[in-house]
Amino acid sequence: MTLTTIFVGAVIVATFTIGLFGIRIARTTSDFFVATRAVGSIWNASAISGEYLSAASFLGIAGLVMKLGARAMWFPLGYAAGYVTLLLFVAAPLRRFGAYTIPDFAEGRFASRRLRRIAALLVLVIGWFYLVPQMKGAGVTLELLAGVPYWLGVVVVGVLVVAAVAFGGMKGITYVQAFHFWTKLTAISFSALVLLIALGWSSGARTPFAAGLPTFPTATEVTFARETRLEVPESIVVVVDGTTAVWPVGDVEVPAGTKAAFAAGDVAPTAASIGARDGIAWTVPFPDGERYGLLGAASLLIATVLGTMGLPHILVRFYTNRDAPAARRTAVVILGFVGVFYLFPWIFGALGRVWVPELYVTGDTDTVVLALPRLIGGTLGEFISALVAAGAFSAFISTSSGLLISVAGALSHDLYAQLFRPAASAARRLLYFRVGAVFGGVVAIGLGLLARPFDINVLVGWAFAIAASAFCPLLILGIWWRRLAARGAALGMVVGGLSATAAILVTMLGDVDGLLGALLAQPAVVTVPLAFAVMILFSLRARPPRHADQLLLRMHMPERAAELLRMEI
Amino acid sequence: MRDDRNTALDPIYLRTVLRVNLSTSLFYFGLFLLVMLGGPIVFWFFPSLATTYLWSLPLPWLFLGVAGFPMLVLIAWSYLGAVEEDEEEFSDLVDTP
Repeated sequence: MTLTTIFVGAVIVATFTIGLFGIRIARTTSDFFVATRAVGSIWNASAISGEYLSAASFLGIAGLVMKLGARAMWFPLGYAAGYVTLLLFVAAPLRRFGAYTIPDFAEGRFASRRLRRIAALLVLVIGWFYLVPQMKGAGVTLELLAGVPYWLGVVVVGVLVVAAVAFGGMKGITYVQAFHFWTKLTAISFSALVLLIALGWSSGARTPFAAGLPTFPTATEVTFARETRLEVPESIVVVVDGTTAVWPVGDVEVPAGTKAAFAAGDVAPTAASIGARDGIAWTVPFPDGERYGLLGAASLLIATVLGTMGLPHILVRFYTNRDAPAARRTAVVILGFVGVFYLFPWIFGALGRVWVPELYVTGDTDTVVLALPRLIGGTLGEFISALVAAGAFSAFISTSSGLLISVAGALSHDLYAQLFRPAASAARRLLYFRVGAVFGGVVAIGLGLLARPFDINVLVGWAFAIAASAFCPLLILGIWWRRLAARGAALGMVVGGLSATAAILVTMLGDVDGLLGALLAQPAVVTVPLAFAVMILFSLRARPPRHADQLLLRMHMPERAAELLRMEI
Repeated sequence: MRDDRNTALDPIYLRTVLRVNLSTSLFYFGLFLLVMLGGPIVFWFFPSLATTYLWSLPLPWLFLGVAGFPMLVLIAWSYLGAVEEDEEEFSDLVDTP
């Protein structure tokens, strides 16, 4: 049994053991859905960071940096920055409000069941959009580590996550996810440092920011798992399935199963899905000829900065803080935790350009974090390979289970039980939740099987754009503007969520150029202001909801002042 | 009876507490925007900075990959101090009728 198997097995066993231990503590069904309140700030911040750092952070950032260079560097900073806006505008007031999920807030703020259902439908869209790249991460990881087909990896991890959610519930998951966070942080930081020492940041011409196209550092054999169209930027001599061939400049079609051997120093051809970038185009954030680079970057930053607060699996965890000041402190600690984590993934992307250019050939840049440790021989190499594998598994399992809990909760509690079985007993509700988890998981697995061509990080960026467009205006206006009315809130959520989703689906299905293409690919710069505008316009003409003043007072009144005024909280 | 009294007081309290909380949040949001939007705008209008190296990293990589994070933590940390002070002050105000 290899070290990697042992490490990954340990993560899975620990996940279930800690989860089952949690079940024994969770005596009531309310404990099952809502982790018991009293969780300290460091534990809570560890758990939220664990839930947050998904396959996109652990594998996707490095993969996209290797592929696009500086243009992918907006992602890590944006992912961390989301916690600043969450802290400034949402964390404390929402904790005082006492809403557990976003649908809870939507109903509680406007006393409207319809708002709960609309919010729940949008939770499903965001949850599934975010689950799909986790499934892709699982598929490519198991393919690389165990040599199993892509679909098998997706199914195996998907089933594990469904099992963990259906039998675990929230209480166990706090500790499971804290454990996952520390696994991920240890894995990414330690292996990045080992790689930097072993390979060096730059030695002579072998630096990530070298001017030309990437070249093979050593003679390299590449096996093509799929049929691949390659762009050959410089004519090279290749040994294809044992026969010497010359690949001229241009496109080459390579059938599945081909083995191609490249000589050291050859310029690496790139899969058509990747596209060749010379050193300058890779190093600078705005390469020449990108007219809408600034717009795209700004839109992506808006999506990440405003999207974090709208992620259903993150917001629920703030409810487990003791009170509003604790919720604020938790947000600051998370920012520190994820800030330290994000110092490392892009280092893999940069080293990958120098040391594993074969990933440009196969198009599998999303696996660079797993591929680099294999270059280091001996026990140390085996150890860090196992460590990053354990980190990757922690990433899919913790994020996927958090998302699946939100999806299952929205399906069973907010939609099914509310519409058809409002009088169901607690035991029945638990059954609905489990059925919801299985259904939500099956949909995620099915969509995950189709996701292979898309970059993990791009898919997650889109989930952020939808969350920012649908839920950020609801939360910000709902918390800070007493006049926000139910109709405005409902219309704004629907318009924001649907327009962002539609833009992204058009981008996924076709190729649109120019300004329109740039906006469709990163829609948040349009769809977020649009949702705000709709909410405000349709609220100005309506009567503010009854009790709005009381609710805002409850959200903003400091604890001590509230006690002095003997307000009812 | 207590309810009546509260209702009479509420509008003033709500306006005051909202104004204090919002102005603190907006001040730190402004600093935050300066960091988040400043980066892209500077690198867009001064492309030569993108190929300026410091400690063998181009400046955009240094900012987006390393320096940006402590800046965000610093902003969040200072906000935490400011808002806790605001809340103490407000509570003291309520305490002295």
